[in-house]
Amino acid sequence: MTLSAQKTSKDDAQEPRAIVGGTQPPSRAVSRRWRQRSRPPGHQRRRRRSLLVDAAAIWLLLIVLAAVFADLLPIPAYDHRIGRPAEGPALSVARLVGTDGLGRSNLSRLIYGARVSLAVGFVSVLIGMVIGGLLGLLAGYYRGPFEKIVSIVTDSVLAFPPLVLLLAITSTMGASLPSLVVSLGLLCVPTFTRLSRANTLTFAQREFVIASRALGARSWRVVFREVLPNVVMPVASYAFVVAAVVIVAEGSLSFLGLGIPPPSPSWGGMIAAAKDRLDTDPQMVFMPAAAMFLTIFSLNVLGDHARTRFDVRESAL
Amino acid sequence: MSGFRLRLLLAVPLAAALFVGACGGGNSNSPDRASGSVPSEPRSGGTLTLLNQTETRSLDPTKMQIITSTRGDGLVGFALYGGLVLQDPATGKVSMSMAQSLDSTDSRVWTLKLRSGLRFSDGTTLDAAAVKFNWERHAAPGSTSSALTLVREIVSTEVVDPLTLRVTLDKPNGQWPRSLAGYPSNFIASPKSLTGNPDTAPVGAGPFVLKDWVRDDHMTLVRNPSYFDAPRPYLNELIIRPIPDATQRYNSLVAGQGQILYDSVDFKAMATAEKGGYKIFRTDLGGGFTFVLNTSRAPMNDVRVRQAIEFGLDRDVLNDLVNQGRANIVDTIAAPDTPFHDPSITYPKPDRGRAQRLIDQVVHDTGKPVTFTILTNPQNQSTAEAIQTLLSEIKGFKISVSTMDSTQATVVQGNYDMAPSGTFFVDPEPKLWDQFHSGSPRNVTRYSNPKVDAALDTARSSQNVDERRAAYAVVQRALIDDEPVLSLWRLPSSLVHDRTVQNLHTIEDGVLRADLVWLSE
Amino acid sequence: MKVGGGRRCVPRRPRAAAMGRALKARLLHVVPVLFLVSFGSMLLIDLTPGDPAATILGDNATPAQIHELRAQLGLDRPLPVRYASWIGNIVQGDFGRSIRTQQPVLDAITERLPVTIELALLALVMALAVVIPAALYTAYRAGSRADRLGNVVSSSLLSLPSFLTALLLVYLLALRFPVFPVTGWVPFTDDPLENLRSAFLPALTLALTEMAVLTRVLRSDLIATLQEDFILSAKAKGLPTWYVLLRHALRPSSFSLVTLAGLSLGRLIGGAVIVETLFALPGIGQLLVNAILGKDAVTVQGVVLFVALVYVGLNLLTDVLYTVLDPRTRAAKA
Repeated sequence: MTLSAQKTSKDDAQEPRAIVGGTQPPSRAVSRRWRQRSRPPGHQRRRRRSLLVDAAAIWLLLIVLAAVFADLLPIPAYDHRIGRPAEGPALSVARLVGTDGLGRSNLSRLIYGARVSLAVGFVSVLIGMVIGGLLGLLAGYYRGPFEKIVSIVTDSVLAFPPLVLLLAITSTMGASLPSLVVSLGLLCVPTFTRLSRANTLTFAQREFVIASRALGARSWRVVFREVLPNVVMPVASYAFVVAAVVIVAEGSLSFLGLGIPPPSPSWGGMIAAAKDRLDTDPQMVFMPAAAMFLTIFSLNVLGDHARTRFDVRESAL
Repeated sequence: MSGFRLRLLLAVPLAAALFVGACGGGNSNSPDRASGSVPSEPRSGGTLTLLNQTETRSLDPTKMQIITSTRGDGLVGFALYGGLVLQDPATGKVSMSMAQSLDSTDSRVWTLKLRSGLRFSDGTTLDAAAVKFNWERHAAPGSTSSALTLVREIVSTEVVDPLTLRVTLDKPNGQWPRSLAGYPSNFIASPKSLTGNPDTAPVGAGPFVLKDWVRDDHMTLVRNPSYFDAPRPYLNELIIRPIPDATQRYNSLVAGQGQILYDSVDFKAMATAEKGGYKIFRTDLGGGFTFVLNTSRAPMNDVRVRQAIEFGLDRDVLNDLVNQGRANIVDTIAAPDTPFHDPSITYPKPDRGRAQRLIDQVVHDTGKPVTFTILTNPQNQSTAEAIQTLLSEIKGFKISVSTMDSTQATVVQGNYDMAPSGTFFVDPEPKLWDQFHSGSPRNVTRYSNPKVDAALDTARSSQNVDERRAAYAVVQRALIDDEPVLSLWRLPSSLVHDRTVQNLHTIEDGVLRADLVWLSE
Repeated sequence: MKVGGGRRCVPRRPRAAAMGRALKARLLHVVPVLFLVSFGSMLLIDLTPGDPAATILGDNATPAQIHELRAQLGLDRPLPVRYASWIGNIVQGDFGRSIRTQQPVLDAITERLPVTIELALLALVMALAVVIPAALYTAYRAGSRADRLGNVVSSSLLSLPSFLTALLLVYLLALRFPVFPVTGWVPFTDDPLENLRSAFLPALTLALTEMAVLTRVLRSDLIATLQEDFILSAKAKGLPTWYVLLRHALRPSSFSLVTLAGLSLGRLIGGAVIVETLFALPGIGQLLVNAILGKDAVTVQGVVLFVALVYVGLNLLTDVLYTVLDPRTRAAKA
């Protein structure tokens, strides 16, 4: 790509310079305000709505709907035996993907398991992101004693081996879906705080923030309208990854005996239960692992797509 | 970055990894490693690496559990200390080892005669005074020894001469040598080493001496040249490695990181081992793998609920679900081919209808469903879940499962409804008495039946086989009727090994006699 | 010129005084953290169910014996008293003895901490060796087939729980092709080569998850950085692509990476329990979990304190790295 060719496509985007100084890289906040004027006409945007993005969206929608309306579906209960253990797929709805180690319908367990895995993945991460992100943002911007306290508490929680915290919380609250979601969410908070604070520190020093303050904007306005949009990006992209990690972590907890108590299914728990039968009945591990993989992959694809929609510019390389 | 450069960048660490790996070289152990025929004469020498489930926590006999194979205690204890008397699980016979004789005329006063010339590996003598010292340590106030029940039976010990100890019990116990064989009071440690620095390990007179111990990694034991039973032990060195995960333990065996492993629950791993050509040395025991029911509180205090569980659970189906049908279902309490087996005293056949009727009655009387929690540890979680699934097919049950890493403490405190346990015995003494006699500290079901108490006392005090057989018939019948435990299947205590390991013998419930083992190469 | 938050610019001062102030600030941060962590661990142990006295006595516990043992172990004193007495011992170097095994806690820790640290470091190095080139390439070629393949690979790695990865790796690289041992640990001091061999599979298991996480994060930051104009100007100057990527793009995008790598390390040290259990490694994770479940408070507190110390040291390193990467934070840190 030659320099002149790049310049042409960039002219369409009309990225303005920041108000102060002529050599500062523009921020997303400023570009957001100008986006309405500078958005190029649709046919010039080379975003192919690929089949992949559509497929990912469909899968996630399917999973969420199935999980929410599981009780209305014509599938047997997830704790009833319907046949012999470890059967392969057959032609009825209940036996579509076979039975598990105790003869229960895999399809039912996958669908009800989606509830647990999705709840853990979404809600825990949401808790972590909102609380942690906010704390980090405020700490990074206002500095002072508030930042010191947040920093000390965050470091203390992070210095704690996570298993100790999990054990303590599940023992006090009992092992159930809410306690698991809450404890995993709390464990996510410090990481988000740190990430958010680190990014806030960078952006808070940038000249557009100084400029905004020079223009007379109040503190909270600066924080939420200038700094936050820039911090959201890296934090949100990390959130997608954390969602995947948390869904899988629930499986590891089941392996240690700390997950959702039986007979409630969860994808990770199903993998943990079938691990010893990997050589004789690998499909019992494969099914929940495939469900997890498809969900995580879809999340990643959609995350990437969301980012490319919000970023008007192309790579400079 | 160009494609070529990128590929090069990625290739370098991969190549390095393979290089490092290849340098070490793999050594896989096929079970047929022993070439040629096996010599009939024991060969002296070699290092045996045993892969165990867990690790012993302490080398102090007062901190060891009952001599059991499921932890490291039995194996390590016997290796370091040997034993005064040894019980052979195949025959039930108690033989003398470091003791020369242990006799009594009235089952109350026992005379223990030691062999002469026994020395601890720190040079001091193993004499009657040393035995008395050890036993008093077990009984000391604040002692947490598992041999408390045994030493509390002792009223007095008297050193008659350096090699003779006279023991007086508070009640006649015709099976006292059997008790002695089963508790760590059988392990005699050097008094000098016990009173010294708490950081140095106690010293014994057993076939091996401790060389080094890295916890959770390995324990190395070397031959004790002054062991009384020369030329044993045949091995130069015994290394014990704890590997908690059953699959990985088997994998390590296959990869040649050990010649023998111990397993007690994983039927699948054992089946795979057999298919892979490994040999399995089984110690078949009476009793079996059970779930204990807490008869001291609701809902298990109602015998109808317990019986409903018994009738409602089809053990064949459970065996199919959990073990793919590999386990031997328990029909009787005493195993077949043992002296106290009575084929007429069997567990009832499953009867769904009857179970449902019993539960309906209970629900009608109490006005709410029968609710209880199955407490389990991670190893038995699938079994607990299977029981939950099967019993939930009877209307009126509301069952939940709770997993805890070690259920023992909670069970002992009586804070459970149903929990996994085991009753393993060669001879019913002393285990059956310990588990079902009212007031016994090991009676976790809190079962109390005066007829059973009397029968257990008779069976303990008598040395007459017929008398004991009649008493145990009473006990077995009552246990089946009252159902304080849910017996599932026999658990064979197993040692899986390759063809180089010869002459396997065990004591108690499958503890390996490391002094008799030898390697053919 | 105002710099953030209305704080004044720091005038130049002698280096020693500046270092002294930095040290004071550090201590003001580190000491409360250590206090919170150690006090918190004692509190959490109290909250978990079970009674250490009952666990020790096991099958033979009568209520009277339990009560006696509790008094003997000093378990019935109030929490602040127990904490104060523990701190008093710690500053004298006495970490106490494990309630379960009677082994001195310090011995147990020094036996096992090196194993865990080596494993964590190895895992992180392995991960970074793959993450940096992979993220650079997929960010540069965002949207291409290679990038999509990278997405598939990292998604599949993410969706594998660590126990499954461990078993698959063992099957592939220890059984099918006996390149590495199945279980066990050889200390570095005994045989460095064997040590690396025994650490490879466990470290790789840990690294695979970290790889997936860190690649996505770095890639995301890199894509954002690559849109900046200074990249454009570097390219316009005629610099080769790989130079621009490594020298100009990587540094400013590393913030999230450094933060998360530091956190990963802390987490890996805190307890790779599953990997340690499966590969039978004498590490801190197993020690900690067994101590928690046995309510062995002395061991738990000692281990948690040590782990916290290591973690605090890592923080220091991360902060230093921040100032190296982005000079603007230097002034802000004053």
